[in-house]
Amino acid sequence: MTALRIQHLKKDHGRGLVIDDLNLTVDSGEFVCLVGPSGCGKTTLLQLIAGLDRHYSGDIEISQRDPKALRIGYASQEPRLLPWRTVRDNLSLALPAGMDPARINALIDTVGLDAVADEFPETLSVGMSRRVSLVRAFAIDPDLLLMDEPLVSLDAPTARRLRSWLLGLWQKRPHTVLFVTHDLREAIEIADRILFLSAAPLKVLADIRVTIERQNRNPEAIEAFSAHLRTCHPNLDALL
Amino acid sequence: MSRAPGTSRPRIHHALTALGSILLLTFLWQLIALEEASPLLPTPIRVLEVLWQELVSGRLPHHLGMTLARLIVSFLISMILGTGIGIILGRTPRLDQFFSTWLVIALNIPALVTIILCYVWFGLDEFAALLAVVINKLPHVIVTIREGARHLRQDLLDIAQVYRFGPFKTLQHVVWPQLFPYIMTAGRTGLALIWKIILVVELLGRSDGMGYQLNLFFQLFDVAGILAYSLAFIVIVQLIEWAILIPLDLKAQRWRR
Repeated sequence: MTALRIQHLKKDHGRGLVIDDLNLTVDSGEFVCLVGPSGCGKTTLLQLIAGLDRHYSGDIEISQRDPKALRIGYASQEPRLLPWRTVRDNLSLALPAGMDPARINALIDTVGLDAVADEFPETLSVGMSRRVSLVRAFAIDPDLLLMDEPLVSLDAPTARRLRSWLLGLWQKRPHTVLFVTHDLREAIEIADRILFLSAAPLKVLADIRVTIERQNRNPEAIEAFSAHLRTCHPNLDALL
Repeated sequence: MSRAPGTSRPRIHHALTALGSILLLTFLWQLIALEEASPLLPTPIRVLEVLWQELVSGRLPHHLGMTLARLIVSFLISMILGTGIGIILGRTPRLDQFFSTWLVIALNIPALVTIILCYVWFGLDEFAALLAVVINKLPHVIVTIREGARHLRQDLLDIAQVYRFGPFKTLQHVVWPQLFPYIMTAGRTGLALIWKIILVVELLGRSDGMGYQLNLFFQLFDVAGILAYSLAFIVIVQLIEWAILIPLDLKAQRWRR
């Protein structure tokens, strides 16, 4: 089943095209990484998909399970938590009407946030705030999860820990994910499919399925896959 | 460590300093008053006596009560209207552009002019009195709240939109906490401004309230009465600050580290 279909998407900032005739489809439950140079319009693309910016031409279709409301989870490198609400309230507030609030308590226990659940976000470390922001995105059981470099500029061990935690979360309930990163190794480790994007105006340069089994994605396998990409797709050299 | 705010030693220190300075002021007053020995500068003790008499006779509670009632009504009306209009103007630049000249004019009309015009146009009644106060205060509230509404954090509004908070949840959990400091500022300066305007309003066209009573004392050259009523008012305003404004502030700032 198709979760997201984008057709002939064009976006103009007024200073020229940011996105030029973009077409892509994502299947339900698929984890797709978007890899591209910085400033290529990835964040703009996610904002269009999230409905934060309605000024574009073309079609963005997202299939929704709840006929009343589309549910989109959104996590970026800025955690964007409400500083005047506790972690627990930040999570509960995101829940769509009609969803059982008790769900948050259960979730807080399973993802290891119980120690900070009643703290205000300003007391949390950067890694912990991002974790909360990711949990919020998962908590609503989204039709589509948008993640904009949620692990960038964390120290390596924290990023590694958060990445495997995130994968664990996703594997328990495989939501459809669009994950923006500029780290190819990260993309190979977590994605089903990688879309390589051009510099602005944004276009898809290559659409590559990661063929390594998930349990076999160790550093050597990732390195080998990356080397394989380099030889098969010389046009991606700048991105690799 | 001993200098950190909120620890008990500096707080006692502050209280002692304040007490000392008030005592010194009273002492100086007493000294000068004794030296002058004129009814135009009564001693602090004489003022307290008058204050007590006025309290017991029921005159002070009556007039103070009237003024406070007018204060509360006009304060609430101008805060509610001003907050609403301020949010709308702060969030819609086109409306803001259009109405900003109106605001500038409203801010610059002398309080006395609005008071006189209200009395002339609507008659010497309670409605005209309250209207005059509200018209004087409203533009100040609007300007302060508009400033807050202009600086709402877009990243948090985006989150509210993505997670479909809807207008009420957004207002309560995203907008209100950000506007709160501005509302407190508008409230504090508003209180100080409004009660001064109310006194003039009462002096010009009411037959009760602090302003009316002060006018009476003025005609009798009763300085002790004037000072006694002022003292009562200063105490009330401080009580409002301690009992309502400071606790509100503390509660709203809880989330800050």
